[in-house]
Amino acid sequence: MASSSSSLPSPSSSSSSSSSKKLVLRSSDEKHFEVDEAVALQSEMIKQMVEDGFGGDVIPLLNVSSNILSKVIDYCKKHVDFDSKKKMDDRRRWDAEYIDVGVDELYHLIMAANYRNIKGLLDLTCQKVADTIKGKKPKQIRIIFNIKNDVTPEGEQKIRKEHSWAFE
Amino acid sequence: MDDLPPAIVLEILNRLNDFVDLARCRLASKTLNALSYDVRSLKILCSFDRYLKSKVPATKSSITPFKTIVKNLVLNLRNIEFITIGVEKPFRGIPDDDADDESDDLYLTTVNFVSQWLPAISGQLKSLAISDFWIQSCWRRSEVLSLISSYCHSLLELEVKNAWLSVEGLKSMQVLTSLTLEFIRLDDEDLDKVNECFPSLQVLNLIGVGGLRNPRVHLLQLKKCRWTVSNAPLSLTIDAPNLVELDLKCVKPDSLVIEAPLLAALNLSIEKAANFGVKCLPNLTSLQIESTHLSTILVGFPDGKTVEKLVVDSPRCANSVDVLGKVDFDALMGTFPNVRSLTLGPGAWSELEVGFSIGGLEGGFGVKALQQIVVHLEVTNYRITGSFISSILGRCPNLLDVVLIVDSCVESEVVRNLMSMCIVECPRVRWRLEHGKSDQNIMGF
Repeated sequence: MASSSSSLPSPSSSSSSSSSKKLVLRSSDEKHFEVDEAVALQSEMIKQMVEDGFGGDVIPLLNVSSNILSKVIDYCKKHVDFDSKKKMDDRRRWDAEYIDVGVDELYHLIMAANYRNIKGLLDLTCQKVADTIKGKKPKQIRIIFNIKNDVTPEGEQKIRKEHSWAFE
Repeated sequence: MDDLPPAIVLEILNRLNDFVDLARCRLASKTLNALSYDVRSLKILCSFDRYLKSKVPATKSSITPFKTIVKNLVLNLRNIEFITIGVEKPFRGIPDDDADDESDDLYLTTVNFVSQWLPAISGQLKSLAISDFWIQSCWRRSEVLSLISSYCHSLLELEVKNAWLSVEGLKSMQVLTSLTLEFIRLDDEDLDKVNECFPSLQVLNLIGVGGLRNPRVHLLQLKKCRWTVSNAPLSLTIDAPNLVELDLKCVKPDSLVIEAPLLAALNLSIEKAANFGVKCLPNLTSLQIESTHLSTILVGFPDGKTVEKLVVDSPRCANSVDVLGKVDFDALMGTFPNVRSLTLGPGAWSELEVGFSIGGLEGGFGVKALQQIVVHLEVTNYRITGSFISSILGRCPNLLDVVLIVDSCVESEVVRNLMSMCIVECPRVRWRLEHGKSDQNIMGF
C-alpha cells in the first residue's frame, strides 16, 4: 500500500496478485508507491538497481514528481498486461489516448522515461513530439520546444538560401 | 522542453523522418540546426505538388530540381543509417501529355544520380529505399542494383519500387536480410541472381515483379515471403527450408511447387494450377485459401491435420452453378479435421450451401475440434441457410461460437427470421450477428 503521506492511489492496491513481489518507489516530493516488481522492472534503471542488490529498500526517484510518477506507473502497469497478451491494436489505441497530453506534461514524461530508462515510454513520447512538430513553421517549433530564436540574421539567411526548396 | 538532453532532441529529429520538417527545424535554433546533421533516419519524398510546379512554365524556374535537393541534403549527413528517397504516392491525375515524359528529374534509380551520393553514406547505411517515378523510369533500364551491391556492405534492408532493374554486375550482398521489390521489371527470369546474391534474406517481398519466366525462390534463410505475381510466369517454385510465413497471390500457373517444411502460416490466392505441388507441411497451423476452383485445390492439398485456423473463400464467377467439383462441408473437414476456428467467405459459403441443398449432410463424421465458425452469408433462402447451419452444429458437438456476417442489403426481416430459427434450434451456441459487405475481401490482400 502507499504510505500515509501519499494522497494518490497506489496502482498496486487494486492488484489481485498480492503474492507477487513488491517494490516501493519514492517520488521527489517524498510520496511512496508500492508496485509489483514486474511493473517496476519495465524501467531498465530499476532493473539494474535490483540486480545490484539495491531493491530491498525504498527506491528513491529524485527527479520524478508524484503526479508524473503515477502516470509513468500507469504506463508500465498497462504494458506488463499488454506484453502478456500481444494485442497490438489495443496497445496502439491505449498509447494514443495515454499520450494525448499537453507539452509540459509531455516534457516531464520524456525526462522520467529517460531517467528511469523505459524504452517503450521514451519511444512513445519522442514520437509524440515529432508528430507535433510535423508541418509546423520554425516559429511554432520554437514555441513547442520553448526556445528562443538564437539564429543570427546572417545564419538564418544562409540556412534559408541552402534550403530554399523547403520554403518554395 | 528547452533543456532536453541532446540525445533526446536527436531522437525526436530521427522520428520526424521528413526532409521539409528537418529544414524547418534548422531555422528554429542553433541547437536543432547542429543536431539535424546527425539524424540516423530520413525520408526525402517529392510531393505531387512539387512535381506539378516543376512542370508549369510559370513556376518552373523557381523550383529546385529534386535531385539537387537530395544530393545537398544527403551529402551533409554524418550518421545516416536509414534513408528513403522517392516520389510521394500516389501521383494521380498526371496529364496525358506527360505520359511520354522525356525529362529525368524524377528518374531516381539511374546510376548517374545514385552514384553521386550513395558512396558517401554507404559505409554505415543499414536501410535503403528508392521509390521511382514510373513514367520516367519504366522505359529506362537501371543498373542501380550493381552499384548498391558494390558499395553498401552493411545494408540490411533494400526496397526498390517502380523501376526497370537489371541484375548485370550484381555482387553478393552477404548481410542483406530483407528485400522488397514492388512494381519492378526485373531482368532475372528465374530469380537465379536473386538467390545467388542475397543468400541471407529472411524477408522477401515481390509485389508485381514482371519479367519472370520460371521463377524459383531458393533461399535457405528465408522466414517470411510475400509474393504477388501475374499470370506471365509458367511455373512458380518456392524451396525454402526455414520459411514460416508465406503470402502468395498468383493466377493459374502451369505448376506451383512449395517445399517449406517449417511453414506455419500460408495465405494462398490462386485460381488453379495444373500441377499443384504443395509438399507436406507438417507445421502448418494457419491456412487461408482463396480460389475459384476450391475443390481442385483442396483435393491437391497435402495432409491438413495440423491446421487449426482455416479461412476459405471463392471469388464468385458470374452465376457459376457448376455443381460438379463443388466443395462440400464433409470434404473440407475431412482434409482439415483439427480446425478449431473456421471462417467462410461469401463465395465459399454459397458453394457449400448449394452442395448441402442438393445432397444434405449425410453419413459424415463428428467434427470434434471445431469451436468457432465465422460465416459471411448471402441469404437467398433463410430456411435452407438455417437448416444448413443447424446440420453443421449437429455435426460439431464443441462448436459454441458462431458469428454470422450478413450483407447489409439483406432485408432485416429475413435476418430476424434466420436468427430466431438458429437460436431456437441451438440454444447452447453463443450467436453473434454482424453486418458487412459481401464483396469485402476477407483474405487480407
